[in-house]
Amino acid sequence: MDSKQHPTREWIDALRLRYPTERTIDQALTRKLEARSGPPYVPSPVSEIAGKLERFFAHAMPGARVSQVAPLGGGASKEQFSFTLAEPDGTEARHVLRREPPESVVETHRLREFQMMRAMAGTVPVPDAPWVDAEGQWFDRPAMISRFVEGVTKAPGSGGNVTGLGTGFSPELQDALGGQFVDLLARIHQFDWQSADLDAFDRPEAGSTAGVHQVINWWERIWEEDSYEPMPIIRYTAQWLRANAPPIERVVVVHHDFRAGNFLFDPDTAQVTAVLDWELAHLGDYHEDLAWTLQEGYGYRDAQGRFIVCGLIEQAEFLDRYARATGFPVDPRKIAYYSVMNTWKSAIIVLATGIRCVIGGKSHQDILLTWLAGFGHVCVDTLLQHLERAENGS
Amino acid sequence: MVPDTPLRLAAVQKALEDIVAPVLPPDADFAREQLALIVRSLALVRKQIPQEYAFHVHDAHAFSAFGSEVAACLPDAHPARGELAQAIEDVRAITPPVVPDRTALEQAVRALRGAIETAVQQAGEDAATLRAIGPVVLEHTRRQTLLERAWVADTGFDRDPASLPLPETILYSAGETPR
Repeated sequence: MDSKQHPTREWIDALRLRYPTERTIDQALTRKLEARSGPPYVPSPVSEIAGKLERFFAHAMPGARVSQVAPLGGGASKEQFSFTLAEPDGTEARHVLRREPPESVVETHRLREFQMMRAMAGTVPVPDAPWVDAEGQWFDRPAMISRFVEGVTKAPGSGGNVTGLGTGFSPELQDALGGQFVDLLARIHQFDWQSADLDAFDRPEAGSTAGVHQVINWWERIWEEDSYEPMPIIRYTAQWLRANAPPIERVVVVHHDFRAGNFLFDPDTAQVTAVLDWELAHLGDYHEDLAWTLQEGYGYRDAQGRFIVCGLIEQAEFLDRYARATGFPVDPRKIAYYSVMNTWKSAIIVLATGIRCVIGGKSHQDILLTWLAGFGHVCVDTLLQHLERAENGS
Repeated sequence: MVPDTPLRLAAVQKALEDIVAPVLPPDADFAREQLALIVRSLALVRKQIPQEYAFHVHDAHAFSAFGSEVAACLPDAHPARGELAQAIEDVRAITPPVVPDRTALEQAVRALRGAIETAVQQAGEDAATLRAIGPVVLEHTRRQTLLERAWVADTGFDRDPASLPLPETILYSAGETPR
């Protein structure tokens, strides 16, 4: 009997008490559990989505017209539909509707994504996000609408597995994109978040480990909620992370999934046109992002054995350019710590939440999620290596 | 082993029914017919897979008994007796006496894994115990993950697939692979 598939109120309340985390993350996770006993995912006909868009814009922008609604491929975590919006003054533009499935491989809060994208506009290129339906009032489930941005995530004909993992770039693209890639990350981390409208985010205290423990609670709660097959290494790592948490000396915006596959570029000019996938962004330690971007699975080793970060830029050059751009010290021990944490989170995403979605038939990408489980076991193997390195201080 | 094969097939079936079938052109009669058979075959296989090994063991016992009864009907000097007796012996030598109920086995192992997970979690609340238990957890995970990686190597995510053993060399005792 898999009781997690039918959560009781008592179990949900106990989890919330045991793993205190950010307010809006708690809301998103609690909403997921409350809906878990409900029906599985059923695709909405395009005509149904078009009808919802028309009703929404009759309210949000009277006189606007919606046309050319079509499902978009990709998007492991959210349903995506493109459509054209003709505004009352006659201007037309393509937009993207991102809607939550009943359960997602990453359960996040649309208001957080919406606020962060709006806050970062002007600091780095992001899709303009004019509208959010944070409670699912208009689209049955929480959703967000952004303007469509032209660009590609990888050069035509390049390799790579699903979702941008292992994407390959030519030497010319590496030269053109590598520097931009680092500079964009630097700008995200230098962003003055304290004067931005980010009230959906809790603000961790600088000089304290409290924010780190909140992140550990966030992900251990997800493991508790979603895992089907117990894995002692996940619990061991959680305890290791608690025992070794470093204080956050400087609080920054952490993108949380900054890598190849999550930015668009113009294939003709090789200029980045948008940084995507802000749904996991939070306030924390910049080493968390550095360690995420440095993950082995996102890059490769060249003929000289040098690690090419996200297939774009050699690791030493990446770190050197980042330090020069930000003026922030890069602490290898914190990189080692967050490498453990990030790999642990990746394993939880694909081996717990992804599988839980499939068990309930809850997502639009169940087949992709079963495939991604293969990446989870690679994550666990990498996690072992990071734990050993962190323990040995190497 | 997550996802197990029945769950993986359930996702395949759902994708075919929900995503692929609705967009087949109305006049693609043959493709629609094939897809309907594929979906029904998947549903059948999902039900059969958990019982398939038990089916083979059942056959081994049933045909051993049947062969013995046939042999008993033959005259002692009949030329077929020797070959039949040897075939029966070959089957009996490798057939387990009983097959555990797969669902019960899965549930029991999952409960055991859960108990270990809880023990590790509770032990890890004390720093000294966390250090003591670490090598045991890491060594087990290293062995288990090698099997898991080998099992799903064809997904293409592993960075060093050539270094992985065949799952059979881990799953069968003493390095023996099935014939």
